[in-house]
Amino acid sequence: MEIIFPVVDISAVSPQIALVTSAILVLVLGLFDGMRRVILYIAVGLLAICGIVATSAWGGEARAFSDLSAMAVLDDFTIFSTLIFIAGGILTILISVSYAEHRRIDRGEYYALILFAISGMSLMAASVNLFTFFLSLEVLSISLYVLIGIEYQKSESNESALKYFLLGAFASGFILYGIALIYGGTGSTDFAAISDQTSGGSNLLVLAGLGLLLVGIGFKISMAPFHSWTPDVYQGAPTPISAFMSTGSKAAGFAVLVRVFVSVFPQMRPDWVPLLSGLAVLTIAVGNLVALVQTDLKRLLAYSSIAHAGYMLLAIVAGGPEGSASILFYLLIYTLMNMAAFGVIAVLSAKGDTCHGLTDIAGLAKRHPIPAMVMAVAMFSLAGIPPTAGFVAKFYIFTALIQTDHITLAIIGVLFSGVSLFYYLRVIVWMYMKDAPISVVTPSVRLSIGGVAAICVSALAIIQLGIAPSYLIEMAQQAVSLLQ
Amino acid sequence: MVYLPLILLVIVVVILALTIITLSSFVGRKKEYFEKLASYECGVPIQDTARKNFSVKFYLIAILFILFDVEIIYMYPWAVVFKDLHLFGAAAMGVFFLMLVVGFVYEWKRGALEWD
Repeated sequence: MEIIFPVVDISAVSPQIALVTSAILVLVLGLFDGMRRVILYIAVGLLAICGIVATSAWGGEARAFSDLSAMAVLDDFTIFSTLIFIAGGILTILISVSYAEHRRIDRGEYYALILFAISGMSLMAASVNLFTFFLSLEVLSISLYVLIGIEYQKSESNESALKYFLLGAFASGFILYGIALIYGGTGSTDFAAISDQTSGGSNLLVLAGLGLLLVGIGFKISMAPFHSWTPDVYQGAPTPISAFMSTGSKAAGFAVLVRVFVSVFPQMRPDWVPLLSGLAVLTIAVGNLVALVQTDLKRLLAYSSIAHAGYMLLAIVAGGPEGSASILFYLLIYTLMNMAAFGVIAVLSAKGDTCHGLTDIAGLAKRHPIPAMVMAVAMFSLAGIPPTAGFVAKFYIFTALIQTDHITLAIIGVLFSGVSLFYYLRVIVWMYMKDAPISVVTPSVRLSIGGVAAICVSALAIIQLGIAPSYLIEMAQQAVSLLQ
Repeated sequence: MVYLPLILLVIVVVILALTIITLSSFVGRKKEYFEKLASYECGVPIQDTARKNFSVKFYLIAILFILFDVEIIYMYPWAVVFKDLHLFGAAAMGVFFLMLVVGFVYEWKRGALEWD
């Protein structure tokens, strides 16, 4: 019997191997009771090491995992995305320090699952085969299902987990159907081979498959009209996990979208650009308009995250190196902004007191000036006001749109960005210009040092990147240079 | 029309099955007694109704059983061509097995295998 051995380049998946190994290490160490206090620092340290492993390959040639079918590649795009995920993961762990401890979910599993989810995200960004993509998506999703429901004694947490699980299973089904149709139309699941097969023009079978794939990924990035789970799940999940979901899993979804739409199906642009621009505008409109009437902070941030997914979809419509680079840059900034905003909620509600409604943060500036300041920076940045990084990120996307003659889309984006000012600034108004009702005036709780440090670092990074973003924009441009 | 025989076969099968079931329910002799109508429980006399509470621990055991059962299935095809796969196969399965052992250690240490 003749067996063809693939020549495997292990170093092409070194960041993912490092992440999985770290996750297993944290899982095993977390089994010992003596580790309970230190396990989170071990997890953060291991994540930092994984970041170094990923960074060490920066700037090199793209390396494919196997010579039979590439499966996964290590290029600057993978590294940049992985670093975003790792940064998000470290911030998630830090903002959950006393939050998790108070709710008794600070066991090894909690941190191990976060690490497993990050390894799934990283592999998702690296995947150049539909099967690798699906496998990594499941690694990410299954970890998230458990993380959302990890507060199993709280009914909201259970409800969120079940909702996300059922809808996520449906989305996986759509993705599998899409993969089957694309395979039927091209005879391959390898991105390069699919790209070759479709270079002749549009193929109805492949187009249907691409549409189903878009439904599945659209669910993960909460694109309208597949967004309805977002506010419910973010509200019920533990707050650090909401932050993690709104940044990490969304970023992973966009990394795949960039690979699929910009580098695999560029020849079919005439077919998918009208569809995607329509969906992007719908997503921006739904996110921003429904956010106007929200009074719960986590739901407000959920609708804001839907709106931001819309802006990033616009960048995919713009396409080209500028469009892809602007998505990567936006994802990084967006991770920092959302981590800061959710982080403030997590830090304030760490000791069990809720901090969900707008009335709960009334007069926050007097009680907790530092979290209030961080929240204000995050809100200004989410709204896109200079000199915060949110402005630069939005500016970059709209520039890419205008350069590719999508003037109407750019105008719609800017207009809705103006609408979003209302609800972002309303949070600041409540924090700084209203007095706390007597019932809310609690003795000021001690905030965890790790959590406050994490949100302060995010806020500082937002301002720093708003003033001097050029080196990161250059990195993002280098990251996508090998994609086309 | 290459599928015509297949369609004909489906039609014939459906009609035949319906005819046999209808005929036997009308013509056949019926002798009903308790043991015959009772639900099948591996041949043992039935204990109780199936709709009753049972310990959630069975569920955990069942899940763990399915997990490890399915993982073992991957080893059969590997074992058949073990010699042809040389070191490559051994290394690949080694990694897979290591992960499996980690899962086993985890469930053991967490106490999932203890009944109380």
